[in-house]
Amino acid sequence: MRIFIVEDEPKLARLMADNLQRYGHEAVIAERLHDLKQEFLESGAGLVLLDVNLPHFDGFYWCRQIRTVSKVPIIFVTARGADMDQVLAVEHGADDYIVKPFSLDVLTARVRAQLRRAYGEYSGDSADSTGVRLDPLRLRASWAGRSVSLTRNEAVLLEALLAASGRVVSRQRLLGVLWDEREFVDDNTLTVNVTRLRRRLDSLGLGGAVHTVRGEGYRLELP
Amino acid sequence: MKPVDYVLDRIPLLLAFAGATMFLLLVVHLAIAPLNAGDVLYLLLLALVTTLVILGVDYARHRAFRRELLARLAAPSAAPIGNPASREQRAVAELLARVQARHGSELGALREQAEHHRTFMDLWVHNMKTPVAVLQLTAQEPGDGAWQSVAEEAGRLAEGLETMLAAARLERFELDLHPAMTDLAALVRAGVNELRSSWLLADMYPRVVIEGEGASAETDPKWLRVVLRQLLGNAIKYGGPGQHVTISVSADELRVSDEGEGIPASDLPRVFDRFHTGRQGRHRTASTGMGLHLAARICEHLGHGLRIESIEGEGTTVTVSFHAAGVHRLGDNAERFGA
Repeated sequence: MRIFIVEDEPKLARLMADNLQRYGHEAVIAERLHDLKQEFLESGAGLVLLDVNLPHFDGFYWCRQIRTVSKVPIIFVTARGADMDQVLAVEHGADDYIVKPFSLDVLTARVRAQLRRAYGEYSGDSADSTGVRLDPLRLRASWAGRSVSLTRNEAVLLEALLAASGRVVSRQRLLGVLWDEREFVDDNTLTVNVTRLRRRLDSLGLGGAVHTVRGEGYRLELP
Repeated sequence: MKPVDYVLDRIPLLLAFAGATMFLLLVVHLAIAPLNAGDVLYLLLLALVTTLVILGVDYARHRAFRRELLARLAAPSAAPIGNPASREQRAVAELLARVQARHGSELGALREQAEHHRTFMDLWVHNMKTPVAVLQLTAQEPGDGAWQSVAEEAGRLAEGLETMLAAARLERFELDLHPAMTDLAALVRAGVNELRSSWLLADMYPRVVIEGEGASAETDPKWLRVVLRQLLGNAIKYGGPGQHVTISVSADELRVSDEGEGIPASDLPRVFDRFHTGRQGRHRTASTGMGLHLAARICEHLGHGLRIESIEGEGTTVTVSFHAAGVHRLGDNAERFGA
């Protein structure tokens, strides 16, 4: 799914785009900040990340403009967290909002949540060279013809481990991807979810693939 | 001004007049024609009556100005003093008017300057947020190691910017106050999430306890968020890896409890003072002594109470009470910022 990024700070836009691409999305960075509606239409994007503070017209204006031609999910990106809330975002026609400075994990999670909500079935999955396939939107993992459904937590853990391609992933990093904005997790949650993930992988025939590296984190070793 | 004061002010003049009269009588008596007692009495009476009449007229003439002067003295105001009767009074009125005008324009210039400064700070901080965001995002790229310290420092920068923004805004608090019934659970969650990377970097875990779902209070969400951020920032700063920070909210209060190193009893009474960094703070470069001071000032403005309890080596609990109104204040030194 293509994502249209409207952010007037080029480095920030680049970072967002790179990160989304790493997670299997296609990203387009807006270049014509005075003509976003047209550029959005040309991009054919399925989701918009829209900075609120823009030259010419603000994000609220462009959100209304895009809404006249499209129903794609729009996520506001704003530096003034205290002035923004869900109600205001929705009032202006957006589906969600992210406050700067945000983390890339939060960005990915929000984008996914909106894609899942808006497109459900339609999704692209990421494949690993070892043959383990993970569909982070539908929360399914498959290997050697077998497939298993995962919880959100199990899926993000597996994704982080797959992305490291065999290297150790620190507990801190895993706690970062597990971060839940409502129910805050701790070390114990991580341990519990790793145990659950091991059980799921076991049912795929990948028992023992997740190794504990004492004092550091976890490592995924695929046959 | 009472007539007595008026007369007292003129004693030297009256004495001089009395002396001159006596001298005149003596000269007439000795050099012109001897005066008998009746003549002297008559002349003295004449002089006395004349003096009283002159005094009375003069008193009446100056009364309006004096009255205004005294009124202005009792309640200083910027209005000019009217009705000057003498050159001296005119000079005084003129002086006051000039001083007033000069201070007025100086004050105006200062106010304008302060306003410019605040606007500048606000703009500047918001502009700095983007580079900090870029730094924080870059540091999140997988790679760890040196990036971790970049992330830590960027987090510190972000925190400093927030404090600065809050301090600049606090100066015009009245203009920036929007009280509303606030969903406390949502506010606390947002505050905790805002510091996501700080929690992760410090390897500490927030624990949110909502006493009564839907707990809400009459407060200004924006300012309460600033207070919460300062309290959480402190809890993270003075905590250690693996520790929990418990944030409990009810309709009456918001409590942040950490398991950190605590504050020595000798430092407790002064933790809300500006620039006070305490023994712990002096060992840490990140301490500005502004955090708790800001929190206290904001709570004071909001009409909330703020109190702190700490046991060295066991942890610190800071409580914001929404309905402070003197309930917890008795004998509690730390509560002096309560409403």
